[in-house]
Amino acid sequence: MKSFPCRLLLTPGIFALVFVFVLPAIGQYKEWRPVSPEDVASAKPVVDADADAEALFWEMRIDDSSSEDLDMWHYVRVKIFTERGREKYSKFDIPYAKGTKIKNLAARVIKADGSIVEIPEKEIFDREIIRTSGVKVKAKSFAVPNIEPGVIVEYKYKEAVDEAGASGMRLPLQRDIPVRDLVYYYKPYGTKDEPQYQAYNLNDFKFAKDQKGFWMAKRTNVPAFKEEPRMPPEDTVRPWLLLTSTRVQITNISFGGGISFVVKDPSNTKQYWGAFATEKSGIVSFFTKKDKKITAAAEQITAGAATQDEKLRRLYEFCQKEIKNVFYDPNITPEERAKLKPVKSIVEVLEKKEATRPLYVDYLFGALASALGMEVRIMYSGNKGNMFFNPNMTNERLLHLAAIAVRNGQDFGYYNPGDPFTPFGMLPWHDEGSWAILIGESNYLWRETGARPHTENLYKRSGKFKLSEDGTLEGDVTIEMSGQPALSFRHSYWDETEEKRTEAVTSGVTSRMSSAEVTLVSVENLKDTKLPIVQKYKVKVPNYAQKTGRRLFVAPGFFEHGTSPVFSAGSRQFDIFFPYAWSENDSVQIQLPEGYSLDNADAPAPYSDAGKVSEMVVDIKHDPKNRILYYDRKFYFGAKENLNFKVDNYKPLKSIFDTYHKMDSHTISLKQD
Amino acid sequence: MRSPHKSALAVFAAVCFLAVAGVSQGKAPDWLRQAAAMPLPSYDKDVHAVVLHNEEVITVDSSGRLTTTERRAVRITQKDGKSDAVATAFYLSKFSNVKDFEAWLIAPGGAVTSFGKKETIDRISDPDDIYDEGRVKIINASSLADVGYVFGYTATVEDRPLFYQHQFHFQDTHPALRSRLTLNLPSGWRATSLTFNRDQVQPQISGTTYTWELTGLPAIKDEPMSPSFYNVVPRIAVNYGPEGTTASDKVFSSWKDVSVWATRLYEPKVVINEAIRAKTMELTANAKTELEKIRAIGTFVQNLQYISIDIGVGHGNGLIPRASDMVLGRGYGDCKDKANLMRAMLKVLGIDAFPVIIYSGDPTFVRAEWPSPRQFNHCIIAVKVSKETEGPTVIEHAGLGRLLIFDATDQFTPVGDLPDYLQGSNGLVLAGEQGGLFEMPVTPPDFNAWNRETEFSLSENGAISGKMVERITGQESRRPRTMLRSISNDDFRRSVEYWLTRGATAAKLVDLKPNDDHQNASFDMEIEFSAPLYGQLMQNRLLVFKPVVANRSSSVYLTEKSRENPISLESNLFREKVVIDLPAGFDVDEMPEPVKIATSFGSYETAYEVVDGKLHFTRSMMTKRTVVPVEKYDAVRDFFTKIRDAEQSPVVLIRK
Repeated sequence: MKSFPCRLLLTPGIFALVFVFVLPAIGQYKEWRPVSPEDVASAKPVVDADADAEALFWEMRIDDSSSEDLDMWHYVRVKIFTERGREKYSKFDIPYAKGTKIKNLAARVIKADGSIVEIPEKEIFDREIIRTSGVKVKAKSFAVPNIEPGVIVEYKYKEAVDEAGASGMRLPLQRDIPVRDLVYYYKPYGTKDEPQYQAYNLNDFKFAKDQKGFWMAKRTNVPAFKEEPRMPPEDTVRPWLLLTSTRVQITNISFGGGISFVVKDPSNTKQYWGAFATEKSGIVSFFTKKDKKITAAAEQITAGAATQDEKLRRLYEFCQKEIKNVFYDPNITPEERAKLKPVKSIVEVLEKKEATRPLYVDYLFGALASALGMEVRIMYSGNKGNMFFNPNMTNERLLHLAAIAVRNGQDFGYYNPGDPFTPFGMLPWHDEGSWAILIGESNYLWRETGARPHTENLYKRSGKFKLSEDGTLEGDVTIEMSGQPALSFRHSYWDETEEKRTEAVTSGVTSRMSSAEVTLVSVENLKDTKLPIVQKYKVKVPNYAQKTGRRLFVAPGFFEHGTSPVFSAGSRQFDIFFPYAWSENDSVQIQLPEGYSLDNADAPAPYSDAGKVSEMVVDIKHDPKNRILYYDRKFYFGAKENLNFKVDNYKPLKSIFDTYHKMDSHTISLKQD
Repeated sequence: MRSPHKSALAVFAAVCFLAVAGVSQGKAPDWLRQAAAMPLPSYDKDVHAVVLHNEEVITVDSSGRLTTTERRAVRITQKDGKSDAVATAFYLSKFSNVKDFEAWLIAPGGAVTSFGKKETIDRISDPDDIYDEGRVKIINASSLADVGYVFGYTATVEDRPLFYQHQFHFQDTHPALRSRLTLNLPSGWRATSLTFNRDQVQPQISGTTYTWELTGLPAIKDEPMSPSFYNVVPRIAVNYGPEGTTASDKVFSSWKDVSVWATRLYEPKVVINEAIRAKTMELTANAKTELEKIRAIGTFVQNLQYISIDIGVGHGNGLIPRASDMVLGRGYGDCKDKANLMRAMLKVLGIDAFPVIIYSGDPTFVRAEWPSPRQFNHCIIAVKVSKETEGPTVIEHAGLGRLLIFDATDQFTPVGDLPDYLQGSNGLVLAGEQGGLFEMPVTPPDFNAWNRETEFSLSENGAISGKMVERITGQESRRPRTMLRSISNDDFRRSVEYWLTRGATAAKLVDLKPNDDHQNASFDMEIEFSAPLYGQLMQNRLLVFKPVVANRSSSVYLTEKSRENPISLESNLFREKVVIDLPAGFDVDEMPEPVKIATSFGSYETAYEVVDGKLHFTRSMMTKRTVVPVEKYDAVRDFFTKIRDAEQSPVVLIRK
């Protein structure tokens, strides 16, 4: 039953009325619609000349007016143009779960000569895809007969979901196939007014009033969605629609009577986030509640610390090192983890020195900082890996609890000791440069988190090698990673075996130079976040240098040797996105073989883009006495937080990276004495 | 309660979680506890799990009904081995019955977690089929398992076999401490066995109980270019039945018997109606020769959609094609449906053809010593042709004469060619008494050729611009054809761009013209390109560049110092002629030495020559379809290493 708002009881008269006005609206799904001779005859796509198939229309009618069920009618008509299209649309599966019924499924093929092949009901199979204790997923499946380029395939069905509503439903506004008419009809629950919705990545999308209580929104000539390398997250570029509604959420029920609640109205930004903040402020109250034990601990931990920063560092270290963060204990199984009980107060975490959830470590940090009189808030941030969030998006699902915010003058610092691999004052890349709501006990603020500069996300790589006459390069390598690269490595490999880490380091080399032999691999400082990750290995690369009759050609840029260009496509559709800025400082020494001297040792000229977003400087020196070649390379990208580039800038950006690639392929010639 | 709409996929994800959410403490059975107590020999680090116990116990009652109990215990030795803590039991929904399915996970300290009905997922075995009675029950304990844990399960399935013939693999790729098959037969029945990939494994016989057992099996290494798993793993094939049985529909003593039996299933399904006649005549209206007629029909059948609908598999329906008139009417079918429809259409033209059942995926799988339909998973066609039809896929069959072998399912391999995964395989031609096992043809290397002609001009600053023409034939053409037909034109272009930029920094694809001549098993591609940053000018004096602009599309990397498995090579040929227009102000200072390598398994050759200011470079590489013994690994590795080095060698120009 729907609980809010209250619904009217249906009298027989009202029932008749509902029946009469609903029937014509859905009646059009009972019969096949006429197909125009032009569509039957058409041999070329309209939306995308390269398309293998094109939906002539893709229609969905959502009726959420009932208090009990949600009914959805689907009607799709697809024209097949190529063999690829034939392959793709030769069979259909419509999965559905318990509580959902697929009714009136019908499909047919209209051949290029206008003849029609209906799919008999007996050839539509109802399959049980998967079943386990109480959960079952079934599918209606059918093969499309006589499918070939030139035919039209169409199907329609009703999806009836028990005890469900449309609010919260996410609908694609761009499909994987080009669509001439992408249409949604929507009849919301409890109102005749325009439905509440949010259209992402589209400016001009709007529902308009249609017949019989439905609202209609339409997009025409919508191209297919295609992924591209280094594009922003899909939810930021692909248009989609979220059906929403005003919701009432109970935040507290008092024993003495009285209910506290918040009203979340997505159409009112200020009101929505205010309600969200009110709801979440209870968390702040939970962990900042005054407690003598917390205060005593905070004072003891920070004894002798002069500045706020110093105090916070001590608290951070205490929380990361002294509190057992059970989530990251490799000896505890997920089953045992799931059974761990929540705490009743944050003092429990302090006393037991154990946190059953990573968040409790963050809360304890917040509690200790608050006990020292600092202004503490919880920070809900967008996740750049999923979506570029901004506060106008009144959708709390786009936020996640990312850190504890502590005021420092006009600014705030962000701390996440609950992640044992995040160093003091750092956020993972997906929370950097993102909008975040900072919620205190009584109010909230919006802030944009900053991003670390490229100098702090550093790969420092050095190698000492010996080059043999036959072109074999052999030597020792050390790679230090700090900042985001180190955090990513720690997150990926903290619970992996030494073999896996060795494999990761080895494949980093062999993926560039297939014949390389990598031995004696070590990875240091995996758990000590104050130090960089250090990878060391020995490497031997047969035929690293190419030999001609009298010369050896060697590329001294060992660390970039064999890499692929960052961009290869001549054009693209979407903007370009880099997760974080970074720097590479490379230092290579190569002992040259006896009997050879340098034919040339000129270095490529330094290069930088006009805006100084990136730069590469290569320095090559030669010590003839000891026959050592010195190669130093300094590179950075993403200065001034330039990490997102409009697609219009693709060609110059590609050209910049092509230039760097060429510089990295720079070759030195050695001549036989 | 009003709940938000949930997609079926979300429920699917929830199902996977639920599978381990409600496990309980329990007691492991004796066989598992004994297995878990077995000491482990030391293994390489790449051994992720060790099979402690692998057993199949088959009990046959006098009516032929069969009860199979599988018991398996595995110890996880590396994190990657967690994925082995999964139990599976296959069954047919309307034919067989899973009587018992339980699993246990024993922690290093001895604590036992048991899994039963509540943790069992039951799902379709092949999600790609429109309808399939094959289902599989799964218990997945991988999220609870860890290094040092022992996972064991038992599954008991009852069914009635189609054949009194059974195959058993003693291991997967993991080492196995003990592995055995036990066959309990009714009184008066007997069994015989054959062993593949190792010395004969003799059964221990006690009354009518037969037991085949192996112990201490080492891991099977996953190495590139290895023979297939089935050609390496120790396995046995068992025939059983009432004593004195020589041939029946349940057990076969010769390939002729299998042919006679299977021919009966296929023949009635060649149904010719008016639609088939009309379609045949329409397709062959302009065909002049026998080959053109076969090609017209073969192409049509190949392009019908492949759809598999398996109903009544337990009754043998999975082995019987649908009637040809029905297949044409629906416009789709599986491999045997397509082969059968093609036979019907050829019959309209007076051309005889026979179904050939075969194993798809491994040409070495089918063993001549074991006449059994259980060895096959695919159906192709052998078309009886006259002398006017020639080609590398035509063979001379002792009893049936000239046969053109063709796969009516693989839409990327035309009439006149055969998919490489079928070439050289044993297949059974279904021609009643005349039928039997024979070897499929193997097309020669020059039939599977990749010919490239590249012409480009090199400027004084190292920029290049030019054209590349590729002519690809035979099975080599299957790869670009599959790609062109599987991905969008835009994505195809991007893949060529990526391939070009791998060889030449900042390469630009100016124009691309792919042309698939499917009927002639040929694929051409014209590529116009430029690369502003190709050659490197050194000290404004030397200009260095590589004559190989674009790599071969497939490269072989044998980097390990040693290996355990033989090396399996395919039959193909690559040839390239490159003509480079050199900049006027430069002379050639140095060119790489020409290379010539000739081995029993392949050859490679390069040559350089300057004529009228143009550098002519040629290279050719040929490999034969062969399996090179592991003892010759160094020679094979050396062969490919020398090729790789030769193709990296630069040319040095010097300013005049």
